[in-house]
Amino acid sequence: MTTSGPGPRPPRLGRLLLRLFAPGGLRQEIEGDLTEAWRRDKERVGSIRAGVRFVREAASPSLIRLRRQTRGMDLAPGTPLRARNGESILSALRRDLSYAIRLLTRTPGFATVVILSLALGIGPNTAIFSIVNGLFFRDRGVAEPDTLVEIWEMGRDGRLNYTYYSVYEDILEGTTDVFSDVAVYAPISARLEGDLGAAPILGELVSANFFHVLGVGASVGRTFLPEEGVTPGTHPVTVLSDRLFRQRFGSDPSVVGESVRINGRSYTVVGVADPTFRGKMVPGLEVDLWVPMMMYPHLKPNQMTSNGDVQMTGRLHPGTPPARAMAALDAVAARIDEEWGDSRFTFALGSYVLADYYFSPDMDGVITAMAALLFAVVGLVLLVACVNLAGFFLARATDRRREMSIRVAMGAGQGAILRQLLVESLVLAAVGGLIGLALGHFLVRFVTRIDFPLPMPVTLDLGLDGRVLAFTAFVTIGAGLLFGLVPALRASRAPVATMLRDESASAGGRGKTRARNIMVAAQMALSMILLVGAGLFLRSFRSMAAIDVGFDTGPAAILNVDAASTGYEPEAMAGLYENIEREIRNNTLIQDMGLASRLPLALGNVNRGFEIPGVAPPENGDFHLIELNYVTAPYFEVMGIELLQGRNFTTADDTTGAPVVIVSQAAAQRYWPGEDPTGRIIHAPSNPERSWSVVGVAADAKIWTVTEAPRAYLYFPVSQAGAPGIMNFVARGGAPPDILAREMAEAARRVDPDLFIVDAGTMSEHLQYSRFLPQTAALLVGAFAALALTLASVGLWGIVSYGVSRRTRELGIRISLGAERSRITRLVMQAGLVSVGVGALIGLVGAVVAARLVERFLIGVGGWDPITFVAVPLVLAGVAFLAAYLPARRANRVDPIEALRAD
Amino acid sequence: MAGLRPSDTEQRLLLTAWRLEGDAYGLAIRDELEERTGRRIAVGAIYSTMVRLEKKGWVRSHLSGPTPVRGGKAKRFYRITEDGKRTLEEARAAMDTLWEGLAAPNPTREEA
Repeated sequence: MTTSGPGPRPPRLGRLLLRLFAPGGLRQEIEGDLTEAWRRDKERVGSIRAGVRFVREAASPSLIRLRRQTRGMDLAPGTPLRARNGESILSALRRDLSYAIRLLTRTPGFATVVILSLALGIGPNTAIFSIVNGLFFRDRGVAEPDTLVEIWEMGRDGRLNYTYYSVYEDILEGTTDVFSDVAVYAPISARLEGDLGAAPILGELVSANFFHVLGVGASVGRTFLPEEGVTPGTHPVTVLSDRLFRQRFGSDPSVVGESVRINGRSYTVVGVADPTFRGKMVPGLEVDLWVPMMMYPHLKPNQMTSNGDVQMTGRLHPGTPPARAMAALDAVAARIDEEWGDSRFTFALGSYVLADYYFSPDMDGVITAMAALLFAVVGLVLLVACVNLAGFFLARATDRRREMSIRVAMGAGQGAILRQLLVESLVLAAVGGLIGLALGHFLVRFVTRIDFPLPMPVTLDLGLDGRVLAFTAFVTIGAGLLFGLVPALRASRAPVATMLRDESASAGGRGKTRARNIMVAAQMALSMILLVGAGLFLRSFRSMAAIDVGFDTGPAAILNVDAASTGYEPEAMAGLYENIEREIRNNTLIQDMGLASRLPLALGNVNRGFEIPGVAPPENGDFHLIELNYVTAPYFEVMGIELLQGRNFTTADDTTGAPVVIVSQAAAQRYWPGEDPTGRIIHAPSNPERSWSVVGVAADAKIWTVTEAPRAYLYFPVSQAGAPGIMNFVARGGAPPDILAREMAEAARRVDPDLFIVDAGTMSEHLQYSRFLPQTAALLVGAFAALALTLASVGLWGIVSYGVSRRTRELGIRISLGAERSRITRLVMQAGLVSVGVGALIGLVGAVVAARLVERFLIGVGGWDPITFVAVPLVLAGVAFLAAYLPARRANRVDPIEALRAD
Repeated sequence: MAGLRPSDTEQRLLLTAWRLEGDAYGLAIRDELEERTGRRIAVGAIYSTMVRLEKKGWVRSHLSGPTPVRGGKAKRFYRITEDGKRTLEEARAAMDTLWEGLAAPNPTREEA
């Protein structure tokens, strides 16, 4: 009986539905009958219609009844049939489901609109949640995260910081009774060379016990051995991440034992980490490989001295309360304080705390706020979509009054009707949710492909997992109930008699009209909030673009090279840069060029401690921490940074001359207020021999962000202070900047073909670093606001046009009585526009509140920005008016005779 | 076993099954009904009634072997029983009694 006969088989969906709905004992025969009919229909009316018929029959409620009827019967031929009664909830739901499917296949247009609206609303929610999930909730791949703690250093100002390696050694020693082990790690960005060419990578320098402490194993090979973490520079080995293993090495296990070149030196691959572990640094960010901390002399020479960027993780002994660990850490802190006294380590040393931050003390607040903002925005969009749909369903419920009243007369209780309508809504929601899930997934894929304007390679790990699915299901069901519940309640409650009697062509009773109007108002209110938000972000972005950043943002070419990662020794770097400079200047197109280790508004800045005679250090430290830059003399002119006092660097400022420094105006005002700073001295902490004298004052330029207050900044001449590992060449000339940049890169390659060129771009590309967030915010919120307004307008259009069709008779009468056409139009628009007005007002109030909440994201624009609050309502009003007017024009064209004749 | 009269639908199906003789299975019954009455009944409804009829003993069913034209699914053939035939006769007789002496209304095709 299970062999299928020759020939095509009817649609799988239909067969599935049969399996669901048809009673077991008769399924064969029924499927056979329908299959035979289908094959016949195919000849006569074509595959598609035959298929639709098959599906409809398969979902027929008569099958449910049959099922109920034959429950418990033995249907073998010849056996007397017995019957049983009683209907369970499950069978009732089955019935509702089949009914819903039939209904929807009968009105595919309506179903499509509903499903699309839902998908557009649910998709972005899924996407945002995926991102949040990837950043906050995902399994980090470590064993027993409950006994793992992060150890941070807390400064006297209460802020948490990364710390120095030497601190780690002290902690390791002094906490053996609370921690079974402590690991340390720090980020590096480096360059990997291999068969597939060179690529920038993100890695972690880690202690040898790192993997052991985290409980992460190797899927191939091994992790680090204790001896690899003892002596600096002796064990150039690396553990690859699973992703790197897959993408660059084709998952070939024979890569273990092979060597790869990192920053110009050979490292032996000893293993590949578990696929679930993606690095410790920042959740969501994928680390490419791990290297023993002891390789720092090659990869990060300043790690032990000035790079205070290590993090520590400790594994608590089982059963140890964190308080005890804190006490042990306090003791260590006290000891360090005592030992070092006034030295630089007391700058930020307060105590050590255990804290579980998702990212870092600084970023957590920002990222959480942004995530909340995004969620609010997409949540609002979904809300608008749901309100829209509720309006549709309400209108539809009016049309189905007759059907409902018959059901009630046949004995269906209020609960049964409610249940059936809800099932309809949920079926639509389910389909919409599935499509929304797919949409959300694509959105996330799109986001992870974006080239973020960051100096290091960023790979986000934001996949679909159980939590995302559960969230989407939750949102889908919630949406389905949201737009389905109110219409369903209204439909199930209206008394039968009224329904049967009220067959006239009125617009469905006052109650229903009011509900629809409320919905239009609600949608307009929500749209108003989103639009105001979009307007504010847009203005914010534009005002940010107008801020004077203190340097010339005109077209310029920027070349960024990394001599350190290429393998140059510090002594050779100066010569390299000179050669490159000379080679570039050979190009006659280049007019002005300057060098600098850091550009304004770039990410990543260096600061050092200084003592300034006569100026007391800040409260929480013993010296001044000031940001600095290594530049050549032409830099100031190329960047358009004016020298306000004193002089620029000259050729006399070399290694034989007296050490000099140029300070920013903010520095001058801060440290030597009201005086001429030229001639003043700054020196290294506790080392007056090592000093620099101020020779000039430069105008302030933005260093970190566009909105910062002027900061103290120091400029040192490259020719004297030494060449940094990374250098920027900034040039302006007689050709478009992208061409210049390309030629500069070629010049650099002529000097050294192996040189690691980090980037060769233009000034405007560089400015993207600082523009990225506000720009993206404006784009996103703007897009969502437009979406919401579109949905709301479609809803308004639908309701007005529906009103016209319902009131055809009344309008016909009016026209025949001589009413002017324009008056008719106005009449029809009236109710709609009143709702819009009410909604807009409520929305304005809500927008004011919302503006307050997002004020902190805005630049140069307050929450009360008058232009936005005037322009946006106008836009909303204009669009709403159009959405009401266009369908209302149809009212004009009503032929009174036709109208009176029809019912 | 069956003291009750067959309902309208039950009569229709009984008659159709009788007419179709040995060829009365789900789809055939439906096609025949549709042809004669101009209305289409869902397959499920047909089986529903046939099950009821079988329960009352007015029809008997048996399964055929699998047939290729139906994707290998069997057919369930229904045969009217003697009881079924008798109950139809009784129903018809009852109606005839009530009709006696009454003129039929004008058929739609002829003039009054």
